[in-house]
Amino acid sequence: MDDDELVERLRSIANRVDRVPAWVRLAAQAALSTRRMDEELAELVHDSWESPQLVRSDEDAHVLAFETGEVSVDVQAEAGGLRALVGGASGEVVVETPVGEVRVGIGADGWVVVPELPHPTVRLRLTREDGRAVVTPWFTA
Amino acid sequence: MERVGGPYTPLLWSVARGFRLGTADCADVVQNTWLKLVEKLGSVTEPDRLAAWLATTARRECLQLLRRVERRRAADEEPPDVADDAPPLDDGLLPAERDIALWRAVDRLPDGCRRLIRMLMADPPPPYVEIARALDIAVGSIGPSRGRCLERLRKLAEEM
Repeated sequence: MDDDELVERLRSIANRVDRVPAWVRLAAQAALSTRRMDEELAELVHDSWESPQLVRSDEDAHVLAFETGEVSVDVQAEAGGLRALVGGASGEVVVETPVGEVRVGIGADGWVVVPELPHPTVRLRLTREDGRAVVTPWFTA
Repeated sequence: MERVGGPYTPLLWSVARGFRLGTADCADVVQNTWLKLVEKLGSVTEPDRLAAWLATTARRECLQLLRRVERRRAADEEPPDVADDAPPLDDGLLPAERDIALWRAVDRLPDGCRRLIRMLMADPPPPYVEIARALDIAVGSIGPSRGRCLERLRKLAEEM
């Protein structure tokens, strides 16, 4: 069996024992249908996982910051939940995950607390003061 | 857009499997990669660059996931759902003994070889340029590495 034949054989083995599960394909389709043109994407301006860790306290928390125009969102994710300080938006925050969403009111002090996330892959949808929708990119809490 | 998911999902799956991720983690990698694509649709416009972009993004997702697992482990939390071995093998699916040996041997390859071979096994087979982007290696090195890794695989399979 030469190299090409061996690779073909391996491919046929993978096709038999490790096919991509149907639910993964369906989830991929669902992900592709989440695109909405009427919303503004906030930019990730800080991610503690991308920064060198100088301070070892707080090392469990994943700290992220998002911004767009007047809207800012500072997120601390840890222990399966998250806290976020929201500026420039009011009402509620929709915490979207691949398995469903959670709606949480923004407190008078701007804080949002989600004790338990349904899934670690998350994005936040907010409503700007002028009514326009803003979403953060997807991130891992 | 939905149709895009079809041909590329096996490519992303093969990248994630190369990192020894379990089924649930592979699924997360695939899905997160698609979610990121949706955000970047404006900037990834050339179809011939799409696969390479997806493959690179999938690799980063794998690395991020492994880093998360490492942090959790450092914090002494419960063991993560990672590094569960290749899917359990139902011998009925692989009648030939040689096939079983080959499949098990893939999992015993060193990291670099396993990632490469796993991607070469994807259906449809990804072009070398996509493999190179996904694994962050030079396109020119794939041919020689492929030969070397397949040789190791043959030896491992024979030992079993």
